[in-house]
Amino acid sequence: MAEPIKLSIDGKPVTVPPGTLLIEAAKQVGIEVPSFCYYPGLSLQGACRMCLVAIEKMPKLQTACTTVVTNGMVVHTDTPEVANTRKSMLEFLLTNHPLDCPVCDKGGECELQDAVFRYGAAETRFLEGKLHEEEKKFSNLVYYDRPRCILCFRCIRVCDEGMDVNAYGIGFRAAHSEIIPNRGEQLECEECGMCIDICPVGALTSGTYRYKTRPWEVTYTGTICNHCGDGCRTTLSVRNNVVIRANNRDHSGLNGEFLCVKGRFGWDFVNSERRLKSPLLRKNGKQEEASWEEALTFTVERLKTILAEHGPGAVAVIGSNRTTNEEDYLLQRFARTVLGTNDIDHHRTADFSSLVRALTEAGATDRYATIEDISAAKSLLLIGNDPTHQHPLIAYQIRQAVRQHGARLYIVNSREIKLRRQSSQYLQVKPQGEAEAVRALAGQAPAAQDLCAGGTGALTALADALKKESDTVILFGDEIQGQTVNDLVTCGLTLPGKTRFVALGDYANSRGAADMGLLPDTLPGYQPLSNEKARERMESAWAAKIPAAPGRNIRSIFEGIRAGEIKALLVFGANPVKTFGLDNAALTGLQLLFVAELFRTETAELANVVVPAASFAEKSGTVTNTCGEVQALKRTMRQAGTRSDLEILLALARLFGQRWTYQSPEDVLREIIALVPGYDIPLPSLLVGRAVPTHPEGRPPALERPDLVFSSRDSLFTSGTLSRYSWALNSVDEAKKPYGHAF
Amino acid sequence: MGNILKEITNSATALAKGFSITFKTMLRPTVTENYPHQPPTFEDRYRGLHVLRRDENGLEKCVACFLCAAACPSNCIYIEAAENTAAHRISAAERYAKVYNIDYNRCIFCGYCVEACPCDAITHGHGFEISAYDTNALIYRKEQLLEPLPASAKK
Amino acid sequence: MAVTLEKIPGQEERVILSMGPQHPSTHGVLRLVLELEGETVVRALFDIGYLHTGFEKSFEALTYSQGITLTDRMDYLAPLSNNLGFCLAIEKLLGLEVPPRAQWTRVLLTELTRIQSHLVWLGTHALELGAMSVFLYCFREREDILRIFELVSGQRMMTSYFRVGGLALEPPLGWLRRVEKFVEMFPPRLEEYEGLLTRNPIWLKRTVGVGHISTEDAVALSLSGPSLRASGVKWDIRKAEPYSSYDKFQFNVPTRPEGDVYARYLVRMDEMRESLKIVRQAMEGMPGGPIKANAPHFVLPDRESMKTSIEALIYHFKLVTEGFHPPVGEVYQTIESPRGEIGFYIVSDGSPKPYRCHVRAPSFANLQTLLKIVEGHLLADVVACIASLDTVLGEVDR
Repeated sequence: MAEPIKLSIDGKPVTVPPGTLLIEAAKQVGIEVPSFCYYPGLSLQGACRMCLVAIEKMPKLQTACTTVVTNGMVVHTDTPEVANTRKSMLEFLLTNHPLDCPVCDKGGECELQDAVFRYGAAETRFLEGKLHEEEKKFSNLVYYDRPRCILCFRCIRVCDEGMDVNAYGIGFRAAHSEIIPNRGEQLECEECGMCIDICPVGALTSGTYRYKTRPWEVTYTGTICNHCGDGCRTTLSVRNNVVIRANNRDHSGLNGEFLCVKGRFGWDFVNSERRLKSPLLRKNGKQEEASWEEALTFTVERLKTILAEHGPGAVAVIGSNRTTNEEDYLLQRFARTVLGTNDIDHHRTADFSSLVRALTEAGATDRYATIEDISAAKSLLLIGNDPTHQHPLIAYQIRQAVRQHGARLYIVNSREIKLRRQSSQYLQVKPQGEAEAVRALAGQAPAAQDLCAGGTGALTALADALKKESDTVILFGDEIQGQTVNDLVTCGLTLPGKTRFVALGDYANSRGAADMGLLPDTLPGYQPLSNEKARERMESAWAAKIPAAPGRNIRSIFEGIRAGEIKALLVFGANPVKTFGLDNAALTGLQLLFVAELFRTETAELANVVVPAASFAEKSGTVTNTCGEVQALKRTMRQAGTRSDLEILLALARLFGQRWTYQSPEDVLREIIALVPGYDIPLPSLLVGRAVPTHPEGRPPALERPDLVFSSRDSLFTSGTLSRYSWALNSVDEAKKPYGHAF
Repeated sequence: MGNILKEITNSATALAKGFSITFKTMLRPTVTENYPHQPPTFEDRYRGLHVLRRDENGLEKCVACFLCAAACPSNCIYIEAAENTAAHRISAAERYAKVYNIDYNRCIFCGYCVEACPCDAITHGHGFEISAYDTNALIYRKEQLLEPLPASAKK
Repeated sequence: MAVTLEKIPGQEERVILSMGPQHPSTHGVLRLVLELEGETVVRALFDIGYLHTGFEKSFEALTYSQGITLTDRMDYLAPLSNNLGFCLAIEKLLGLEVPPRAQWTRVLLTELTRIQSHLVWLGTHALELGAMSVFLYCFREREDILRIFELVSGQRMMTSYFRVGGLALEPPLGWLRRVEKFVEMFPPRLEEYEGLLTRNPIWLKRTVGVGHISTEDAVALSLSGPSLRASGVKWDIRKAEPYSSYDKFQFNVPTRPEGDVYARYLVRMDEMRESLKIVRQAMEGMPGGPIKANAPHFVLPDRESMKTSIEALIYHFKLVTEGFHPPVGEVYQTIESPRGEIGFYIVSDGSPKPYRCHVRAPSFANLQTLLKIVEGHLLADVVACIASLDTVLGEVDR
């Protein structure tokens, strides 16, 4: 460890590690040095000259954002010279700035306004006219106003360094310089909107927030994005029960300022006109609006009849990848104890069970990686999956790891994924060859000659390189499942240092669904049903019997419906007809199809009963991201007519004569904390908005068949069924490009 | 005895003086206004009902910057902004107020909104007769607040 | 909990009477609980809070400049005095120097406020003791002053005309001529009121020797304003701690030694004459120059530059939407309002809204002498006592 550097800023002594920038050192002692172009984490620019400070024994003022501290440095930020310089710099930045504050969307949260108000002059000395340029529409989501731009190049840098998209450049000269997009007049990029978020002025503005409101007029609620499995924290701006904008306003949580196009713009399905607002009940072959009471009573009566006539084996339940842990937990409790069936499953997008089993068997349940571990990793092995599309935050953190501290990225993939640009070794295998490659790496089976283009030599080279690394984080997609996960874990644990693992699942709560036991053979916390002790523990907590025999998995459920064995299917927040490509005849044998959904999906269209569910913005609860970190959702608004799945389940249970005493999602969470192994998380951390890692431990049964785990392969612009109802996601041209198109 | 006489004299003097003043006043011109039979008079600056102004082309001056709503101490201004299009131009700038409500249940006529407006769009008129039987009727909409189109701007 | 008086055992024949809160002569919604023996008040208690508005709490939710609108409504008979006290407190916190013209205008308008406030007092006081004409005449003259306020600020009563650092608007051209007209018209009118009252035997009978407050009691009960001066204490903030250039004006502080209702009447009548003197001096000596301090971080830029310069526009935008950030600290500023010493105590945490704002309201402090002075008097004199203290309940129940 190098000796810390001692210096003084405005008479205050400061001690910082070597290599620290002066501007960061000043921040540590609470001295603000204004700057526009400087942005932590991005390369240094020195473009705006706002951060000039006086350093003793230096002839001229120096930019604090590019000066590295040295021992004994004496810095002044409060001299008249510095103050005058700031004033002059702002005057210069405002020479061509239009009088736009009243119409500019940035007004009220503009860094330039703040800086002028704090450091600038109150009067202009210029009499000359201002250069004017018309506003440009870079895409439906991004607008650019040249006269407001102060050319700090933050957008260019974040797009290049943070996103690896490089969609912006600088065009023209001198006073006519402007930010220009990569394709003529249009942007062609990931449309993540990072440039809008990072813009200190109102030059780049959002197409969806455009001219809607003012920052002081809305209420802000921090919650968790509901799209992919990364669990980004986002702040929803709500005015009059309408979500207006999402951005991670306080840069808190595991994603900092990062949000992808889905997180930043894809929330608008919440406001969609097509949201279900009333329950639908099929009468005479047609779905008609009905009251909640009518719909739920009908469902329960029909269920009771079926249970009486055919027994619990005739009822199956399909859960969701997006509903909260509390809802998933209650759903499986409802299925197992009220309906008496273990025929409960969900669309599994990664084999979390096998990972938990493998790590438990290896005695290494401390080896679940968190998002932070990924960005801090020195070495990363990515097998399968395409994080750029399926896990934008993880892709961003991988890029951060590579760029910020030179982590090595090793990729095994059958596709030419975009992250290969950051990789130090990229092993392209033949289609579906990832599992074979893992087995070969683990020494379980020799690799076929045609596995990868470079022959088996490349595989050996990869194995050798990995052996030289330490503390590797291994990320794998749905390509690795079942026994292969076991092989990967066994092999990974032999690598030097503390190897950690992440299974990459698709949606906001895929991990939570598995954790909460939406599985036919597993109780919450990956306890196998066959484990009598675990079963009895739950039975005594719930004061009800749980059938001991494992139920049907989701594929068997469909087969059971076709065979006429299953008469009733309850679907919560899922669209199996689309996801599993079922044909129209697949569900016709049912006497009851109950669907709780936001929209009238393909499955909902076939249902006898459809009830309108609340979206993520309308309910509280917790979700677990693909790394196993639990975070809290917070209700930001209400949607008339809808109920959360939790309320629906409580109502159903009540109609079944159950006396459940839960008053709120917190009550359920407390029970989860008490009962579910691995979920003994501190409630306060959760409530203050932290991501709390979990370390599940259990030996769930082995994967029954390979077609149970598969990813939807969502692109950046799709998110299962939800993206259909988002105007923003469908409005960008890039969404029409084929999947895997890299920008 | 003398005291009583003195008291009587004093009272008589006071009465005479008092009545002389009131009689004098009777002959002075009246100062009261005959409202509601005649319109009351106001000083130019009188802060009455708000008027949303138009520019010389008949376009609304308001650009929905929300400064009035921010300045308002009683939170009585509610605005929804929207974007002007070439086909549907309401104000001269990029944005306009799609909804502009003033809740006269809350308004205290302090004039801060007028002071805040960077476009001189909101001003105080001399209207004051706003009593209503229904508080909902006291929420004035943009249509009620806007000044009429000038004759020159009519199509 | 409503205030009640328990009957004393053995004295059950005494009547407990609730006066107010809807009694017309309690000047607002003051409720008195009186224990009467015959017509004589033996004990008294009062019950305040019927007009509670939470002004002091509301200050914490409004920016400093928005807070000015609250002060108008606290003592609604002296809005400009309250505006001035609040603005001066903030200016003290900020260390702002207000230009002379603004100071002179402030003095002129607050003295007019004093006159109009005293006119309301005189009118209602006389009305309650049976003299209807005085009431009408006072309100006639008061209206002239209110029209001047309307001319300058746009409102007759809720003026909100003073701003941190100066005035809200340039006063209109020719406004001083209107003031001059009033100044010339008023002295003979004042004579008329005196003609109706000062030597009137009924008036004298109802006021002389009634509601006596000794000098010691007055000081001990922290009485202030004209009521204090009528008990022989020569204490006036305008002289003792001059603010807003009062030290540059020549005027006397009228006092009376008697300490009864009549003395309070005479002091206020004299005060109106003195105020008129100050108004005349302010009018004649009105300096030129700006009406706002040159402090762009606290004072809105002028409208012309706001519309032409982006810097001024940004300052305007920030000041309107966010307000200014004063230094962290606390400040107390007191001024002489028509009712006495009004003080504003402001604690700033550096944010654009006060952390706490407490008002030392003269009406509230003066009211406590009431219990002392009504004891032993007739029920009818209670009315005279209340009126002579000139309290405004809006200020009592902040």
